[in-house]
Amino acid sequence: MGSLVDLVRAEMMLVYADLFRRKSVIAVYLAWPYMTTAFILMIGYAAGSPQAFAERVGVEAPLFMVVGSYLLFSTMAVVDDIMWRPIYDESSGTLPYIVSSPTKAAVHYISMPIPRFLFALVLGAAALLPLLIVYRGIEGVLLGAVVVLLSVASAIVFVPLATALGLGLYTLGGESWRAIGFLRPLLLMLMGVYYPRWLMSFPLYVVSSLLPPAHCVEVVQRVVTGLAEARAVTVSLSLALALAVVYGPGMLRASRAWELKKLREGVKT
Amino acid sequence: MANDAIVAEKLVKRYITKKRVGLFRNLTERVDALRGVSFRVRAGEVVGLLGPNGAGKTTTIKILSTLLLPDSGHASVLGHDVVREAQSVRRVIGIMLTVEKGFYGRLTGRENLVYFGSLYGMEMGELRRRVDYLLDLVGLKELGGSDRLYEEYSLGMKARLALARALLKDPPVLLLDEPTLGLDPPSARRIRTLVRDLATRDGKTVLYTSHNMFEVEFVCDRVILINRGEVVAEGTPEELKSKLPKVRTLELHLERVPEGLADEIRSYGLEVREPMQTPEGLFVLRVLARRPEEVLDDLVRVVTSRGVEIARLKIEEPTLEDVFVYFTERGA
Repeated sequence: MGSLVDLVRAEMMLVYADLFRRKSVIAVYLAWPYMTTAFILMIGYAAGSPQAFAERVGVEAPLFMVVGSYLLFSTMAVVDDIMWRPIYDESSGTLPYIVSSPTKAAVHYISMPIPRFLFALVLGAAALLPLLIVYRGIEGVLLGAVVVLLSVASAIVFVPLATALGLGLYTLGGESWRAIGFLRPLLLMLMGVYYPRWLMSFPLYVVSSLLPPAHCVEVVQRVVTGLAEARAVTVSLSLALALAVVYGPGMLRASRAWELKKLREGVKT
Repeated sequence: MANDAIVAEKLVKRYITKKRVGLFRNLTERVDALRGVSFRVRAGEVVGLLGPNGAGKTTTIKILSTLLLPDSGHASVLGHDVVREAQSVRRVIGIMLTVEKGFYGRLTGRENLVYFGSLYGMEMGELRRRVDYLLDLVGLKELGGSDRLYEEYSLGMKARLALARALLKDPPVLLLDEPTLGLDPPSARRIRTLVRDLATRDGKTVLYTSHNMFEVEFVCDRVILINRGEVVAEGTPEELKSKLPKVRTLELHLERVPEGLADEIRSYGLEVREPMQTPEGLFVLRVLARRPEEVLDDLVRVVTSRGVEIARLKIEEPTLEDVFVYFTERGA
């Protein structure tokens, strides 16, 4: 079995070749939090007032949305990496060589999103810090560091559930982009990126509590809005970590079931 | 036997596919891909797995590559069971399944090999040395393909890279599924020669599928013919040719074929095929005979007595293609 370090290095080569050999992609990634924010604010300002948002949420709308978009980007990148990959590998014909390698699927899926975490760190510094400094001055640098680290944590704790959900769906229904199309908006809503969890209705709050990244997202939002308390932050992060551990066996089971299904049908060449 | 590198015993595989008919109804179709395939490949041997499309060649290769579970039967590679000891099998095989894809387009050839080497658990320093050696071996260095993006590769370069990947771990057993399909002659020749050399020089065991009979005769020590999921014949190319009914073909190239000529030849108890015209305007008349030497004089006399000039005459020896057609059509 390949060592995890070598696997991460190999995945990094793949991700960075994809990013840096298409400069337009980097440009889009850097602009992404701002583009999304501009879009949301455009709609938001048309329907309501920025003052009402600031009063209700406790922070300026642009700051909240840019941080939210960045969080969304860094966390959803993991979901995309994990969930698109079987479809991508099948269409590019690499899947048989991956399945027939001695590396276990679960180990491979753990290594897959790590390069994106690192990219998210760089992206956070490049895309997020300028706005945080504008709004919060030098304190914005510290805030930026906290947001970036917490968003990476959010992505990491999401890996077991994302793998279990993705491979589970593929096992039940076959590899299809439709599965991602179904899951993405659902996760987006439940994570509370654009709508703080503490403002959600109770049933939705309970359901979103089952998502490990939702707790990280809540911590980030409390930090940004100045509502963070040491005890609440510790509880939220512990919950996120505990949920990731709980979903671990599910991830292993889903990866085994998916591999078994592939072997029964025959890996497409 | 202890010397067997690959063993397949009574392999059975049935594919079940669902086809949508209407909005909610699915039609289940069952396809018997393998119906008890058994064969053995000795260590160091190059064996060709031949058969028409849908015969079960790729299914067999996939089972041996641990990419498909058989419904029943048993297969092993170097003594490791392909189902129970799949991880051990994966360590001793190199596979090449398709020529036209199977790599990441935005990585170079070298990077692709490093990527797959990492998946195979190779130590990075050793891997880089091995990749460099293989790029040279398959001729990608001389073609300037080592550091070019895979998406810019020609089909020939893709095939060379696929062979290099199969050799990454220096595995004792190679499973190659139509490795020269669609390649230009120089690339196909390079692959053929490399495979032959790997067996003779390095003692590798190779299971090789192809539709190209010339290639199979050049590369393989032995041939296994498979049709409709069953092994229909096996042996060396010479042994297989000797299994054909002792009928050979006399080929007469004539300037014209007068009416009644074919019937007169048939009256000697010979089988005559419909004449075919060549681009040069000659007519080719094929006559099947058990001992062509004995009927040759009579045949020439019959033709020339009708005032027809024989431009060319040859006795065709059976080819592997004849063997292929004979055994596959017999089961059809």
